[in-house]
Amino acid sequence: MMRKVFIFLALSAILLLAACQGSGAASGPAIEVEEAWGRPSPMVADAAAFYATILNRGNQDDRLLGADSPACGTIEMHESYMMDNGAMGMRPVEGGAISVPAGEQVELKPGGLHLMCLQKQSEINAGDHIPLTLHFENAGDIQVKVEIKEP
Amino acid sequence: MSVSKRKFSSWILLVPLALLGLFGIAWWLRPHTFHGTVIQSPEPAPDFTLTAASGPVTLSNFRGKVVLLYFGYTFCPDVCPTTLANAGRALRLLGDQADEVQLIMVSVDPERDTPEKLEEYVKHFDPSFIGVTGTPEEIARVAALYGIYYEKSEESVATGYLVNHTATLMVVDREGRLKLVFPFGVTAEEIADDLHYILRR
Amino acid sequence: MKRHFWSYALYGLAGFVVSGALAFKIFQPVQVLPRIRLAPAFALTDQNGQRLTSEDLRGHVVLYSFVYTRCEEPRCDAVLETMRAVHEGLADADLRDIPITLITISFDPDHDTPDVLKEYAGRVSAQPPEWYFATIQDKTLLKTVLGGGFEFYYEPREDGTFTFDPLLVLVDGWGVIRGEYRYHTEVATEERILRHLGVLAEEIRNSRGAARVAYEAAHLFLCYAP
Repeated sequence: MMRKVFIFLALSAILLLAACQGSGAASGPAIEVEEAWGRPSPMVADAAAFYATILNRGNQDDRLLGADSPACGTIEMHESYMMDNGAMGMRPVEGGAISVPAGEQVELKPGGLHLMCLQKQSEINAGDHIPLTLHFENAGDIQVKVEIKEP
Repeated sequence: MSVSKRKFSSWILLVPLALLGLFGIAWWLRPHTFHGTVIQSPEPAPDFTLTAASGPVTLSNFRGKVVLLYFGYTFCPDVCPTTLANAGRALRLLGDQADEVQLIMVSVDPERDTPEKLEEYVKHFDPSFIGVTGTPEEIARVAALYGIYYEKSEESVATGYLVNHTATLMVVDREGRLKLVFPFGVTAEEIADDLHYILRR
Repeated sequence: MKRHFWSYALYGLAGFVVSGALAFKIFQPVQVLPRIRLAPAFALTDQNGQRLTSEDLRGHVVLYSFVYTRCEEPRCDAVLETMRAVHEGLADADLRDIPITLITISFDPDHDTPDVLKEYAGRVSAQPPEWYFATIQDKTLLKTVLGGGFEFYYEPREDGTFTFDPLLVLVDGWGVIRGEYRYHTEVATEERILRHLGVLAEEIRNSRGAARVAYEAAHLFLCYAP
């Protein structure tokens, strides 16, 4: 009986550790990237978008300078904005970087800031987990997996 | 004595019951609060014939169905997929009623969006969706009449250009009149709620 | 006995509902302007050569009129006179919290360049951002926007003048046409427009929360301001 409990606990611990390694927490203590996701995107769509929540738990301001993914030829940082009540415009992020002030969080979400994946290497399907490297000015590179799903 | 007492108590019961009934009827008669801007134009929405992969598509041929009209383009990474995905999910929320709804996406990027490309693109969001395009002049005319402003963005990306456009989702009712305009950011549940109400009548 | 009570109660309730609806229709506690149809989208060039798009005007109540500067008919003066009277009336009316813009669109882009429009605007002392004079260079698009969108009739004559049917159009901040004024009535058009602007402003201020239901009811019962 005790042995079974022990095995169960050990297995859970291994699973938990494995789960932790998947997230970006290990790379830097100050910056955390949560809930990186994107919509499925067929080849016919030239551009896909990735979203995430970036938390800065440290006491130093940081900036997201860019991103890379083996799934995309290039990734650009863009912002959709309401030009006025109805029209949506899109522009590259101001200054070429997304600033993440100390103690704050920045949301990349539909209709706002997003990472634009161009020259897709293949179709992006629901259930895919796409590796993404985010380049921060201070925290350095942080690797995350982008979960592809219909929200 | 006992009879009048019983009568009295039944009256006591009936007053709140009647009040409840009144509230019930008021609730039942309450106007539906739409999630978009109600237009309910008395005139038919401007008609158009544009080209889909399967051939010409004319708006007025969809009388009897509720038409969702969206103006966008396939290169659009953020705003269009968000709206189209929400519209697709709204149709799945409607279940059988979705057969009475037709989404038509009109391209505001006729230079790059061929009918075939549009077809493949919209089917990704829902197999029932139709994508149409035309000559730049035809698109300019249809967009102007539907109050859709679009322009090529001066900010280009590595592999092409972007188009800024009015990102509303429009609802044309069974009689072919413009009923409702959803702003960008409308959720699948909100679309389904309003469509459900429109389809019920 | 019990059956009687319930049928009376039902009739009573039905009567209550019907008389309520009738009272709303007759007394019209809330008046609105009809939502006629969507206004067209466009990109105009104004008298200073600046671009002015329909998206720039979202959130503004806009009064449109259509003329051409070479027009020598009194009807053109009448249109401009109405615009000027509305422009002056805005200062007195209680509309300060609602942004209102006047736009006069020329349907003769070949002749009415920004410079010509600027000179013409000077004559009625019109200045952006309160009052724009503008046009669309592309004549096909101009016809779509004015003829198709605003349903304004105009056709060129051979001598370079135009035949047209004078029209003013009122558009709300959501881009919906709320008023069309065709000079068929005897009532002074500027008074009617100013009154309508007041009704529209009242709706914009109040169409939130519970009051929205009353306004939707007014639309449903066609309680339109005369």
